[in-house]
Amino acid sequence: MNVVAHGIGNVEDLPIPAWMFYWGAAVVLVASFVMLGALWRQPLLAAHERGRAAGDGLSRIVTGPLRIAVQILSVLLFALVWASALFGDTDPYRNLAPTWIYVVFWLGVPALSVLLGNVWRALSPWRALADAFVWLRERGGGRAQPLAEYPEGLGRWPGAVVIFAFATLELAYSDSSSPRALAFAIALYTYVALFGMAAFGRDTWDLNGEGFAVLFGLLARIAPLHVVDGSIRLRWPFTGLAGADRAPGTVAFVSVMLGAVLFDGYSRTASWQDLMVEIEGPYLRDQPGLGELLVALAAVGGLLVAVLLVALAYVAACSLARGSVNAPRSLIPDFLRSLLPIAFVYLVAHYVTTVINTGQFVIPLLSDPLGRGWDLLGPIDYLPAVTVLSPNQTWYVQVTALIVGHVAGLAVAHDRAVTIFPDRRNALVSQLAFLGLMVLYTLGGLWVLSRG
Amino acid sequence: MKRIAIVLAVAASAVGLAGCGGDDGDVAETTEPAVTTTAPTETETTAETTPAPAKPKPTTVTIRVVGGVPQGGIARPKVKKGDRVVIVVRADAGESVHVHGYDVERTITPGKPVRLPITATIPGRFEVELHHPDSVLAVLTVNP
Repeated sequence: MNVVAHGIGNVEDLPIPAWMFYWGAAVVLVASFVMLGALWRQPLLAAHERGRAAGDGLSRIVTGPLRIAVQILSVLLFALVWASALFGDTDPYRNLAPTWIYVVFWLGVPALSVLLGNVWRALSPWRALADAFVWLRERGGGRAQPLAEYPEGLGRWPGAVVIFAFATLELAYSDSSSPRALAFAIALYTYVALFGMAAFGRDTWDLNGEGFAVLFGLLARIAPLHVVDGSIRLRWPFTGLAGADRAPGTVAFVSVMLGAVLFDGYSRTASWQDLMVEIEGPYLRDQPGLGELLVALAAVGGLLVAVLLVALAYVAACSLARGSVNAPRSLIPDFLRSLLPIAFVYLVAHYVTTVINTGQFVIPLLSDPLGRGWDLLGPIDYLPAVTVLSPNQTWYVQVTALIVGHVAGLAVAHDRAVTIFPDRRNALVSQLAFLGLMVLYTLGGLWVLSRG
Repeated sequence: MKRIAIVLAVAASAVGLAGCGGDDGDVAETTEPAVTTTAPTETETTAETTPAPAKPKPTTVTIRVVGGVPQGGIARPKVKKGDRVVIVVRADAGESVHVHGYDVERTITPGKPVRLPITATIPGRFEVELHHPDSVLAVLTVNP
């Protein structure tokens, strides 16, 4: 993540000390086995998934006027960010776009989604534009209909491709925080998003092809709030993770979510950096373009390997579990949602300091988004504090987040197991493979953070 | 032998620091043998064994850059919060060198050493980057 790794005033986290890695690992293992015996015997989550209504008045305001106001604001902000990327200062630190896209959008919206539910429905500028188009068309007496039927077999594959492409831009492209490159990416993606919605319908595309909507929507299942038929409902956190997810491409999608963060972590280790110097070194002086290309290709390769490893581990665990209880069908769709808490805590563990430190730069950047010396929000003499969290506190946040995500993932998987296997013995046996899988994911996450 | 070289390097860099702005050509000559990542840690021990002066000598990290590539690989000095660090870069090409986080940047004159003095007040990891050609020269670790 260029703008972040290279941001002014930015601090890269120190590696987690070895003793903390071992303690974290021990806690994860012990917690896992204690939980196996202590968890519930009857399905619990599904019964609480709907929750209770939060009040009609509130629902009407939030899903009505408030949503429309947020959508208008969101389109205006989108225009500002795009204009900054297109016409603003080419120095990433004097331009709003890089920090906005990589920190506020890419890290802030997941956090909001987990806390408040599917906020992207109102925050998405593309959805807002599509909504406006349909509204205008219908006011003019016309009808807005999708042009084609979405091929169901495609499922979330287009969304997975979108997120992989974004991760490539962020982690592999050598000039990822260049405002002009981002302006081009925004233009390209806006075209794809609007075309997808026009072709297959707004909701269909948001559920499958608009990668960001898919990602934020999946994470929002963790949230204690959700909307059913226009009414806001309160529920226990994590209860939205009950049930299977049968949309094709979901394994790929979730693997891209996890793999991208793992690779980002690994790419900051000494071994990866040294390898990149070796690859780029010989070309640096005479053919810098070729050197950059080789490094970018290596990074795409690394990203792909990380995604494949995550996917392979999941599919292997599902096959093992199926074999161990002679299940009549594949278990792959059943346990996907148990990976979502892990995907979220990966984000927390890797980017908590980034959000806190680099996120503060948004304030001065919003006041002068194009780097032209403007004072839109008044003269701001704001110096971000870069030591909000001490290294010790950061380590505790990271390790605690990973452990909490691990325990939540195990509990969700367990709930699914007792739902589909009425026989308690089968439910427990099937869980051994998933326990192994989640220990692997959690220790993998810890290991990457502990590497210098 | 190595230790002597390091002590020399530290002494020389301290002199260099005092005479900031002067011709530092001889400084780099003295420090060249110490182009290793172990230099700063060794220097630290040296500083600890000498009776504590009011202002401890800074840790010096010397990096020689040929064709944009740091000789001997990316340097990984580790210091403690509060230490003073001087990064000396001698590059045959490049526009500037930049320490992230501390945001210290200096223009490069090819063949001449450039000095980046830092007081390590922020714990964390910080890249030292060469610009045009772009490459990572060192990663400075400041432990709490």
